[in-house]
Amino acid sequence: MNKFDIVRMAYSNLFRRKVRAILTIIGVFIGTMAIVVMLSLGIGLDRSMRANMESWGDLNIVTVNQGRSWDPETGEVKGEEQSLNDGAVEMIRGMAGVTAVLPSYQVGVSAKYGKKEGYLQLVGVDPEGFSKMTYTIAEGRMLTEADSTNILVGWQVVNQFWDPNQSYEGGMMRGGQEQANSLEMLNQVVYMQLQNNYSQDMAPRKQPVIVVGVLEGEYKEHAYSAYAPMASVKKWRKYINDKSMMSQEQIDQEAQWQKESGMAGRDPDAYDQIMIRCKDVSSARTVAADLRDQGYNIYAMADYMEGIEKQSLIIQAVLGGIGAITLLVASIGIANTMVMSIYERTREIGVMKVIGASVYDVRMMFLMEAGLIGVTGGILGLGCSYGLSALINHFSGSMLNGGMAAPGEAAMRISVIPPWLALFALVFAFLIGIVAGWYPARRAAKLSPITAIRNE
Amino acid sequence: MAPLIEIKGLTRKYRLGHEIITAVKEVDLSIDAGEFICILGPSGSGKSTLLHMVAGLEKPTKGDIFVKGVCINKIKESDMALFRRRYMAFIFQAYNLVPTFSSVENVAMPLMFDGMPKSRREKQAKALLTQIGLGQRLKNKPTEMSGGQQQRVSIARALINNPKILYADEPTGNLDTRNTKEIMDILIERVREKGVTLVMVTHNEELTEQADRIIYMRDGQINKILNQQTGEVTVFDHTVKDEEAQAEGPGQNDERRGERI
Repeated sequence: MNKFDIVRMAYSNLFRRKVRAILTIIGVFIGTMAIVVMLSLGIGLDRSMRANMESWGDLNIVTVNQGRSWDPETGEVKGEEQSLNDGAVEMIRGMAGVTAVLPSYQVGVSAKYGKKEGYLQLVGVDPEGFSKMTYTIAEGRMLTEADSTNILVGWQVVNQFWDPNQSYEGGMMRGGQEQANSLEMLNQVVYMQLQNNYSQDMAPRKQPVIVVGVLEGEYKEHAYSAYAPMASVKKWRKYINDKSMMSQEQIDQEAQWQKESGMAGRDPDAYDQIMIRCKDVSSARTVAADLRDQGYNIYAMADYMEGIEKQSLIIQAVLGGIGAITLLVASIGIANTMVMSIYERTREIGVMKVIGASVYDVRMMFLMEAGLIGVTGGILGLGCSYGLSALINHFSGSMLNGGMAAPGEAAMRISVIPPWLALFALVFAFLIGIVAGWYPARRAAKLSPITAIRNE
Repeated sequence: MAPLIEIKGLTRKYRLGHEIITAVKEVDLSIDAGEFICILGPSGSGKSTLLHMVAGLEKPTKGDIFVKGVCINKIKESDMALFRRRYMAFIFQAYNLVPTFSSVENVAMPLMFDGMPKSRREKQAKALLTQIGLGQRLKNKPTEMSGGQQQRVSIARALINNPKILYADEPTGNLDTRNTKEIMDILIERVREKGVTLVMVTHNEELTEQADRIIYMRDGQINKILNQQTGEVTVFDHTVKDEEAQAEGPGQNDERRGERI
């Protein structure tokens, strides 16, 4: 018997009892809708949590700072401090899953921008390594090897400058109004005030720098930093930390302080920070754990991901479970319908066997009939799921976003049906039909022809 | 030449409540290709059970059936389906058509199970139905036709595969005289012109006129075989066997009694 005939037979048999077939299909329809909508809510929740985390920082990035290793869950500090030197950079570069490593020097300096005064958190980076990280330029250009007094600024850097002649609220905190962004600083000159840490009496050295680019990312960690070529930052940092003009009293004080804080042995040329970009979140997690065990001070967004993932998995399991129970009930409906229809058609099955239907033919006809119930209910259920999902998003969206989405940001959707879920729902509904039809079909196929014909 | 159908020591027992009933008892029979055999007997004589077993619709309790040298009670169910499709067909007293199918669809069904595409098999079915005088009833459902018409559809369904053997269980049992004659004419024409072997069960002696051999059954056994071509009559005496069986009975009981003591 060819496949086309099997489907045709199953179809015409299914709709011999229209009401019963439709009722059974409605069962599957409700089950599919329950499972799809429930899972779509779980997926929507998971997505919005991820999106939230990603707006704070890149999940693939692991940051190594100076200091001792600590546990992200308990905050407990342990082990010996490791030096962030070139050896460490090379070691990290060789780790599995690492795609780029960016060591940097950091220095905070006072600066003037136009009439405003403020503060620059300068990060010295190798321009080539920097371009391999995930930063993108909103406007302007990236740093190049040729730059020495050119810098990049983060989105919020401009808000760290204020006019000393204006009241406080006029500057940084313009609540309610649109915040200023760093785009206005492009191609402007910022004068840094390099002040030696150990001789406060000496007048600060003025160092002009030009902003050549503004980095994208409104609320990310790097929004408050400025980036300059490593060699320049190293030079400025050296000037600030120059100890040659220290008095004997200061030297003694410093030694005493270093002894107490346990930072005596720190290499003055060691990097302040090493940034690591990993292939994906899971390798970021293993790299972070690895380095933490070696005694490095690690900060990784990915660490906080784990808890959230666990939580959203539980939510999805609960929601999916509710849907699955509904579909299970529907599958019992399918089995019931099939058993009934085999009772009614016992004699017919016998006749078909006598005129040459094989065990396989009979079984396939009934399995296909059950599968048809499943897949028809599945298609209807999926279609209505899209409608219901859109409805949920429409009403919850206006509640969550206060009637309008933030500019440049997609409206938050609490129900998301990804293509895999749609496909999964259809396949699952079909399989539910097949599984529910298995026993009845087997029973039909095993009927002895003559007993079936005698049955009246 | 080896016979087409060979039956050896065929026995079928049923359990009816606590009783065990022997419907067919130690039957031996050979049927040649192209023969028209009538099995005649009162109801309860085991003639239908014998036919069902020979057609492979039920399994014997004991004994073997060979069709074209193949022992059909021992082959796999899937092979049996193929065997039925290729070599034999069955005609029921109650027609047993599929009620939701039209005449054409009913007749084309065996070809569907054989995997033939819809257009081809329905063309063949139409041709055959027209040939047996049902050209006006191609699209009708069984409920829209008379008994005689339904039985003709069922015969067309049996003939569509060009079977070598036709089994018929009281094919005219529900029909009037005129329809009975028409049905018998179709069947006998097949035997005489196409060399089909026909094994027919009936309790109507009038239908046996054209049969090559008539097999008389009673109480699950063959009593007498009448060869209408040679006029030869073979009578079987089962009393000896039965006496032997009865003689064995008490002996077994004695043993059992012995065990109890």
